[in-house]
Amino acid sequence: MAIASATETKPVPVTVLTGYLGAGKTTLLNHILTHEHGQKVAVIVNEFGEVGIDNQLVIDTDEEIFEMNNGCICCTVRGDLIRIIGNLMRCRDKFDHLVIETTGLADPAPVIQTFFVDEDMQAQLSLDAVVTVVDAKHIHQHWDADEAQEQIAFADVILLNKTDLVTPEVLDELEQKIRDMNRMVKIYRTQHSHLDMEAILGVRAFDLDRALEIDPEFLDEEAHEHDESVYSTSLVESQPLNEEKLNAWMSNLLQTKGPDIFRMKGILNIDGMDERFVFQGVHMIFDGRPDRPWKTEESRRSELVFIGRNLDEMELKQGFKECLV
Amino acid sequence: MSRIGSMRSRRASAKSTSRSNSKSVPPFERQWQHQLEDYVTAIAWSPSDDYLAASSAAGEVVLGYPDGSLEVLQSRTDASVNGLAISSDGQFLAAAGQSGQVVVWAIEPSSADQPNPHATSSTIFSSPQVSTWMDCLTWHPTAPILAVGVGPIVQLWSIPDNTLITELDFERSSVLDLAWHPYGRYLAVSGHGGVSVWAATNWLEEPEFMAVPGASIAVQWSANGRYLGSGNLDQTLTVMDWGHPPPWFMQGFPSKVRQLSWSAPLSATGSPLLAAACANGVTVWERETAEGGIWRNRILNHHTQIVEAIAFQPQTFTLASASQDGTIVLWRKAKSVAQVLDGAHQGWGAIAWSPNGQHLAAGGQAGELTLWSQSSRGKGFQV
Repeated sequence: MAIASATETKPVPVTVLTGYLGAGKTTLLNHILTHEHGQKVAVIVNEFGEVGIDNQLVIDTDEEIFEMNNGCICCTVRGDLIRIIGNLMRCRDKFDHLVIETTGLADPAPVIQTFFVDEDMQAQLSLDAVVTVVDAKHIHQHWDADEAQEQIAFADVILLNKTDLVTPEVLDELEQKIRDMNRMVKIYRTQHSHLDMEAILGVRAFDLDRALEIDPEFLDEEAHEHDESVYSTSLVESQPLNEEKLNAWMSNLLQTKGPDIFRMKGILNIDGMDERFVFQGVHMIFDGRPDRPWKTEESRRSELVFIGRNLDEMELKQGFKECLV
Repeated sequence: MSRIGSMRSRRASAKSTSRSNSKSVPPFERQWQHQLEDYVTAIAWSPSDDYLAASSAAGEVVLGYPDGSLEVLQSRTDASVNGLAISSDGQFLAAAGQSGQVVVWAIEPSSADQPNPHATSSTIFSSPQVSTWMDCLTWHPTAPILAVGVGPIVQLWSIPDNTLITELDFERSSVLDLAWHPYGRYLAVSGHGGVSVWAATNWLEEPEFMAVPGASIAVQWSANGRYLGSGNLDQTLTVMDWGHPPPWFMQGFPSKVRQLSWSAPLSATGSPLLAAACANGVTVWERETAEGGIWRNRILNHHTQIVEAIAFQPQTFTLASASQDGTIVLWRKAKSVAQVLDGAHQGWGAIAWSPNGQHLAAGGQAGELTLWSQSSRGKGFQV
């Protein structure tokens, strides 16, 4: 029957590729397009002709930002991306993975939000991961740029590239700096953007079932001073949460601090709910649902991680505590 | 993904109107179905109802005839075709898509040895190739002038003399939709922030701008040229009584308003009906009084998945809606289910009535191209 086959179409995973100009994005794209990984990859780029491979599935788009305001949610999306992907999804048998390259100075948020705001994109695609290529030699020149910080803060996977051009000490220090900003990211040290494709394609970082592999050491860390204005912070509570209070707090938090919250993820222990409540968010966009039931041997506790700019850790902790039953 | 914040309720009650009339005979009967190689992206009818054109995501362009025959103008290429339009005199067929180029075929009328109109063996026009994936093109309602969206630019081509008349710069974003005023007075251009409307009398003059929240993704003039409607990405609908601002602003839609259709006939209050496709439903808007009245809506519920395309039958208030759920519903008076058509196993994507309203063509997401015609038994179905 028509209805069944139409709904069962598997969503196409999407990788968002960011990084400063010259970091090694195009080299990585060329690896993805030539590597024998058994997947047909379509690539959406901003500058046609930069990718050195003649391929029908390299598509040009304009990096147009649309401002959206639905009721109390403000966000930005990539308008031309919606149009191009709408056309591309009509040829869906031609590819099974989509990679979107952003320009060096792009904020990754509008691309990510596009996948959560547009119903067609939600239905047909699933965001796999944000992959950021960092030039280990030159990143310090851009370290204060908002775009560089956002590209690191939004990343699920970072390629610390051109490791042959710096000393191991510099690399260690850089990696520590990145971890302080984004405690959830997987970091790989690379040369010439060489990396196993499994580390980049099929990461499922936005999949709520797999999203919450949070380092326990990080979760139990006390609040501390940060060198940068962008950093990660976590909240942990074992006492159950009152759903109503939590909704009110979260709603207010996203309204007032949404622009400063880049990403957040969490597992919540809600009073009267047998299942774990899992969620994630990007700026003001929030996605959550009850997950599997808590196991009997498992200690029920709530864990939240925020990555953002100028977040007030004490205020967050205080607000969260007030949601406890 | 859901979002924080409660959805505002709809303006009108969501009363279901999907009562079907079991006594009536099926007014439309399937004439034929052809199979293209991929998603049927666009369908266009000739003004004299004697042929249609269809395109696919596999790059095919075909002509189909009411007698069931099919002529292939362009077989599979690697580049999808997404825009298709036939000129007002039926003499030109224009196509554009992933290749970044507009091509035009001349169509020759039927003759003693050719029972159907047919296309010239090669194209008569090709625009300079660009790297932009094109999907917006539309002919002037009376002249052989083609408007094409190329990124943020609208190119106006005079096809017979192969001349670029002018380029209009929308500026705010890529062009998302185009609509000529039915008398050719204006060209409306959709994109981020709203609709720019250029007057055809002077292309150099600044366009009028109808602002909408977010972006306009679908723009349509009513058949009498009085109203301009814009379906918006921000879950709203904007309607302007042209020359009489401010526009009406309809909200409460559950998602983006992806397509609009105006009825050609007018209701008792002197305005056409406006149908808007949004998510699994269609809202139908009717102006309450002739002057100063607001627009009341009703919601047509039947589809279980997204409604991809809607179109009023020319000359009547019958509305056709094509959905991803694999059905096309014909709504009598844009109110109740009159007939349900099927035949697309992965859902429908495109729909087009012949200008005389006798034929309905639809394109499936798996490449089905289907034609239904009004049966003689079903004549009483017309309003």
